[in-house]
Amino acid sequence: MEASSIFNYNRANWEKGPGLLADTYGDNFDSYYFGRILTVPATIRLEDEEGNPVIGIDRTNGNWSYQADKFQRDYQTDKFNMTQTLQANLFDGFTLRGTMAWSFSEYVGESFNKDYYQNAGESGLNTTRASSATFYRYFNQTYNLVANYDKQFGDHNVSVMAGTEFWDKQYKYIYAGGQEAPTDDFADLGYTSTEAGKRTVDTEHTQERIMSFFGRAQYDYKGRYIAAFTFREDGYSRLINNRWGFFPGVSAGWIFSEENFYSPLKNIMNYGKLRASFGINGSIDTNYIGIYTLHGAYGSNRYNNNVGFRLTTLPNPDLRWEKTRTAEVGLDLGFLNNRFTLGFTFYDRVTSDKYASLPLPPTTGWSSVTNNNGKFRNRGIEIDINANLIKTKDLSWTLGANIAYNKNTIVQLPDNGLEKNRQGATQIYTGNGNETTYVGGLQEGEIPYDVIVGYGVDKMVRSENDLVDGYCDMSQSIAVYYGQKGYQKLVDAGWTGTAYELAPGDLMYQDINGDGIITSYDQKIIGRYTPKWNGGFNTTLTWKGLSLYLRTDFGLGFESYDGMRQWINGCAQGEYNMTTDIWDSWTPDNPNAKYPRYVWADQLGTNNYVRTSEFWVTKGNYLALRELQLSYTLPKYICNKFYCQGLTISVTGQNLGYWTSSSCAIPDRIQYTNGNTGGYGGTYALPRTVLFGLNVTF
Amino acid sequence: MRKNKLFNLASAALLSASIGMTSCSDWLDLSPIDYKGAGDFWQTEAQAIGNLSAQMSAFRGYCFQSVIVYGELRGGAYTRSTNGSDGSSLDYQYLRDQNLSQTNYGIGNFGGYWGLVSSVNLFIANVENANYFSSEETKNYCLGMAYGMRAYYYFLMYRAYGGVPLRLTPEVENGNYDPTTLYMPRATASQTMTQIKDDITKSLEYFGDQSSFDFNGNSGNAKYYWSKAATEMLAGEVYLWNAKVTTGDQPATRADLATAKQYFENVTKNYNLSMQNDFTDVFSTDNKQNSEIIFAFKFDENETTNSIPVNNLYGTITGNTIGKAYDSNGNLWNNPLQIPGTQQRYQYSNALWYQFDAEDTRRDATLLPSWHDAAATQLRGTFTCKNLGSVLESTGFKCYNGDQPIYRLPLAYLSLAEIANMEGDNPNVEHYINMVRERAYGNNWDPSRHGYTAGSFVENEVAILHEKDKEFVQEGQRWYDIRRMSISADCGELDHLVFHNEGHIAYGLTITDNMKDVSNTPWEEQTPPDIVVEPILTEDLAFRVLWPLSTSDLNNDDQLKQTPGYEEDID
Repeated sequence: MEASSIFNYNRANWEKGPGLLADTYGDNFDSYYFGRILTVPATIRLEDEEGNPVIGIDRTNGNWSYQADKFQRDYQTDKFNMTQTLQANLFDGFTLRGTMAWSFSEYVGESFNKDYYQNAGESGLNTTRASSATFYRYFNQTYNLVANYDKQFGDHNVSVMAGTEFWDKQYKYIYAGGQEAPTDDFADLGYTSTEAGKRTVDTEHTQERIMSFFGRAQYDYKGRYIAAFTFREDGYSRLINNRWGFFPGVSAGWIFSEENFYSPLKNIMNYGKLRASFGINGSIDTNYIGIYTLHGAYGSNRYNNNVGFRLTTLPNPDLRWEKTRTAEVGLDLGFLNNRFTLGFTFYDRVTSDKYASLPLPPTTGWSSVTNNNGKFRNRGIEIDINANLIKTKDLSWTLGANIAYNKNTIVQLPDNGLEKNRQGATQIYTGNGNETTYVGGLQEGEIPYDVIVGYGVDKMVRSENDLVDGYCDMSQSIAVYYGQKGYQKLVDAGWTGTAYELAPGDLMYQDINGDGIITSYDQKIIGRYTPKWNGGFNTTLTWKGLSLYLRTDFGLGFESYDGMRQWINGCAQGEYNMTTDIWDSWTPDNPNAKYPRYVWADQLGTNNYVRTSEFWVTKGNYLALRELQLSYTLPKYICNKFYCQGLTISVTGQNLGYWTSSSCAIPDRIQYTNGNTGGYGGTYALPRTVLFGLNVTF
Repeated sequence: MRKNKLFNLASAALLSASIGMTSCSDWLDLSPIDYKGAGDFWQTEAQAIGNLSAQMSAFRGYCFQSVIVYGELRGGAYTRSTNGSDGSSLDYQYLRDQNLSQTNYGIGNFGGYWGLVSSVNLFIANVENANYFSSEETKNYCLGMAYGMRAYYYFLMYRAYGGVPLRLTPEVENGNYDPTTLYMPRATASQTMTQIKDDITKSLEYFGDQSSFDFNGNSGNAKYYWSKAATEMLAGEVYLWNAKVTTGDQPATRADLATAKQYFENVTKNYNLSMQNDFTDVFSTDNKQNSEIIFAFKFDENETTNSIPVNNLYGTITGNTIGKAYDSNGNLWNNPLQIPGTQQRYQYSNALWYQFDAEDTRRDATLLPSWHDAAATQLRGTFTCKNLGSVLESTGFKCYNGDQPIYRLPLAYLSLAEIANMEGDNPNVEHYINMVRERAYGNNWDPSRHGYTAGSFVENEVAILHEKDKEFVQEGQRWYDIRRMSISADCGELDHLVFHNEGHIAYGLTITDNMKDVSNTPWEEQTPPDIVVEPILTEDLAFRVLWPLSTSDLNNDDQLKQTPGYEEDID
């Protein structure tokens, strides 16, 4: 009989950023800060002559440390876990093990705004004195019982496991907020105004449960032939009528290098294993269903202080588990006494009953309902290699690499009467007269949400000679034309809005269907987001006690589109700064420049920068230098002098950079393609880290 | 022995597991703790009444779109400049330019009112046969509201799109999630108009003679919820529109004029409504739910504030007016309206300000002019100060807590003036216009100088239009006015003011050299735009009186057809 107990406590306190702005922007805080704030004009004044912070442009686009002490914030979480395990050996080979785990996660957050100035002139004082306090607790309980039986009968090895698990998660939440206390000295909610509508209170409760039964049986003969069978039966409270799912799996392996017929090759390839597996997994995509989503909901609304309820979520009691069936075949090989190992895996994964939003005709009042929407296939191949390239007494060099190719296609979508049952695709000309096709969105047989659609670019107008009478672009909210013929086309089409004439420094776009007018259908696929190949390699070079370790990863076969940069370079925010790209933008003195003419608010003019076009697409292929570590292990005789068995010092650099042609600063972050980001679209930068380490063994 | 023990243990475990399994599903049966799931609603009167409050709250969410985007932006009162006098770019350029197309479609999905329509459908389906109401009268009042609101939504869509899909039953809420059976084509214009009139008739039947504004018996709710008076105002609008405007296969029906007149007269007589003495009192936050209001959306600083006035103002931080422009007293502009930080996105044409008479109290109550020079000769641009609410003590700024009137009494009067004009009844044309004018001029009123004297049909029509222009700024009338009013009582399709100079906001002004439209820089530095009187829409683009559907609307439901005239040659 064995018992083990684990106790674990974790406490975190943190800041969310300058008080009021973190409240205003919430989850968008990062994208706003690393977007718009990066481009505030260089002439911005953030401090006065005495070094006191001033507001800058305004509170949201200026000095975020101005009056930071007026916003009191206190956020804390406490997590406490306890696990108790009891294991008994009832008889030879048979163990029974029970586990009980409780986990509490509690959050306390308080926020209080003292009186603060609302503008640069410090003439208007905001005395709202908003004060709030939040508490919530998650309580997780897990109970399981697992029985194991392992026995060897001669050359036969048998291992059987069966078990059951119960899981329960409860959530309780309480919030109170008030404002307009008589002074700004105290955050105490008791002092806040009791006038109608000035206080807000709320509580919330949820509970969910899972019940599971599972088992595994494994058999091998002489360690050479291996077979295993597993199953799970799970019931989840989030589902209603189709709550239970049965998920079996079977796998087999054959270490053919142990066979008699193989022995001649054993000197070269000492290890070879052929393996295959087939299994079904269930999952529930929590982006689509919350704890009670399938029951539907009558959400509350308030009007003239009267609270009422209205149907806000459609019920969906028949939703089923998402099922993924994976078939995998693989080969593991070892050469020259495992000096080189090679692994191949080919997998084919089909997810059926996948959750997605099923669009409904919007005139019904509902735009979509979550359904078991269709079948998706994920197919690919993974190769991994490990090699001991050099191994001598003092010097060794190992290399490991892996590469994977993956393709994700839609096999089936619910029947909605449209071709390929498409959802959300864009219609564009094919280039064959007025023929059109649909690209992007979800379509049977295609990769989901993969394409970047944009305008094709013929060329940049570099001088008056390049201008063509008859050019007419009506695809944007402001038309661009050139010459009498171009203007006439606008008149004929009934264009009554603003129109600008094409000028040197503008881009001329492709007219895909050749009718002489550029419309929103004259677009094409200018790139694909999803990398085709992913992988990485690592290598370690050791000489005596010195060791150098490098780890990288890469992505190949995709395109990047930096929408944030387009917004900045198009001066789309107004009087904000621009990137150094603009030094090489078209001017009469620099007609062969790389970039179009820089104007104020390009999106309100001829729209060269903010419009999504092939001019701005870059190849996304990248190689990321994730980690480089240099370490030195002191020789034994020096360690003994320090009364220890081992001493290692190391210096590590992490996230050192990318080798890439992508225009995005972080190529592996799939970004928002449209240039019209509104100044948002930045993200928390990837910090370069240097770590110094000392490892001592006593 | 050991083997037996093992067997016993295993079978006991298996047995308890299988027993466990049957009651397992019960253990996993968890429903929402803080609200009703979809199966539990429509059981009590309180739920049904509460549902109407929730519907009103959702309806209020469409306030800006219904009043400004659909009701005013295309009406020609807004400037056509790309940038306002405060320096920032103005919104909805292509709507102000009438440059609509399948890609410049305005609002998608017919304005997105379908959620409101389906809420009404669900309400009617569940409440019509309900037996849990404390009194039949309460139930009928609620149903009267529901039908009235549905008629409002369909009338708004009818005026913008002509024929629309007629969703009248809660198909999806009843469990039909199959899109192939849910697609619905647009009904014809005449079918849509018939449905609107049906809903109005049903609404009035259910209201019976319940003319109280006190929803749920609470006077604190008066004028904030739909009422019989609101249905009658709507009915007047619907029949007046249908008497004058031909849409698709729905011809202008002269006989509807008398019906409209009856409804408007009912409103002026049966509900104890009367105009306030002072125009500024109508919107004062100390005077909410006053005698002139028939139906208004409730806004206040705690629940939600009115978004309509917010962006018709100067920016206090990044705007160009502060520190550069002058007010009418020759002082440098320094936030005279006490507004918090905002961005200018909408601005009326200077012509609207020029149309006002200095003695008309509505001018200064509605628009605040800014000037390029201290002598106030170069009008830079105006800002709308009509309904900014009260100053909030804790911030020192206005907080946009004024209610938004949808129907108020002068609308009935001026509609009756329009009906009188169609009937050739000049005395009543004068009577109704002068009632509104007398209140507007306040103590300055002099009937000999300010009173209206009737003239020809088109002169009267223009006088009524200009009266509405001054009375109902930011109240969603102008686009509908120029589409409905006409140069001739025959109301031919091309007679409407939208196709004629008479529909222009500056029509009738004598434009001198120092009357220019909005500008950001003094006139010496950059030539300001001229005010040019011309038709809002040319006759060859007459199909643009209706709005188009977007490409994604057409893709989402293949039975929907584009509004005639906007079809693109794409398959």
